[in-house]
Amino acid sequence: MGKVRTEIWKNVGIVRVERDERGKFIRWWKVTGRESSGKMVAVYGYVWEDGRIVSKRYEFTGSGRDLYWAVMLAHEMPPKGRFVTVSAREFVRHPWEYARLGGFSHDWIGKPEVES
Amino acid sequence: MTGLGNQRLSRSKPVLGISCSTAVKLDFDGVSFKTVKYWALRTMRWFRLGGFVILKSSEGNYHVVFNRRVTWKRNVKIMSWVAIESQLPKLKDYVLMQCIKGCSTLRVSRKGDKPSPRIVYRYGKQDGEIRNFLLKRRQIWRILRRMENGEDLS
Repeated sequence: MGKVRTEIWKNVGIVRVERDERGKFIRWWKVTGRESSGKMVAVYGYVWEDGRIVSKRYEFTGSGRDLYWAVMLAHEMPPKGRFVTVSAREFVRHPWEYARLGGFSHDWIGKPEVES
Repeated sequence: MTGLGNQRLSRSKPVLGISCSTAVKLDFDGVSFKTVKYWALRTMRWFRLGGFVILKSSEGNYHVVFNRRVTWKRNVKIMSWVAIESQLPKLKDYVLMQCIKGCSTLRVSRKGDKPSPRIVYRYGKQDGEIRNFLLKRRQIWRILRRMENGEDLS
């Protein structure tokens, strides 16, 4: 494999171009989007549900403003399911599809302490 | 407050962490820094992981993140190898939990009295998964700071 670098071509846009050691063209391909690091933001804790303590978690993909709002909403609303993996944008647009709303029984709780 | 036998429940904020399947992450609980460093170095050399960073989450508790990007299959292999070789029961529990979830998670925010994990040691390359991890961590910190200040982004 030769050297690969990013170039901007007229009428094509951002492309990755591969050339050998002498600079001879080998191939090119279009860059369709920013490469993701694959890291998700996990929001997790405990919830009081059906008479017992259950651990629940969100996992959000995405970044920026969507992620900020998703975390803001997740702080107030635990998920319906035990493990919810969703894009931050989708969660912000339709939070009621993934989260439980209202009441103490639908709040995050601290890790239970045993009174001695 | 809701009573549950001899347990006391109270409202609390959830914990924020970073979750992914491509970075090898380990959670050492109740061990010395020397032990953590030994196992991090040994794992890095055995599996050629390039470098690592050690974060102190609280007294006697450490997180380790390695630099090389791996598949989830290899990630499980590495985590399980360390758990078996080190004979640390809490690390075994951590690995089993990550296997159930299908990805590994490390805490970034505060958790009760415990502060946010902070970097205490770096070794080798830091330009791969460690860089991505630290960037995401900074992003989460920014979100938490904005939430504490009550900023509105709209």
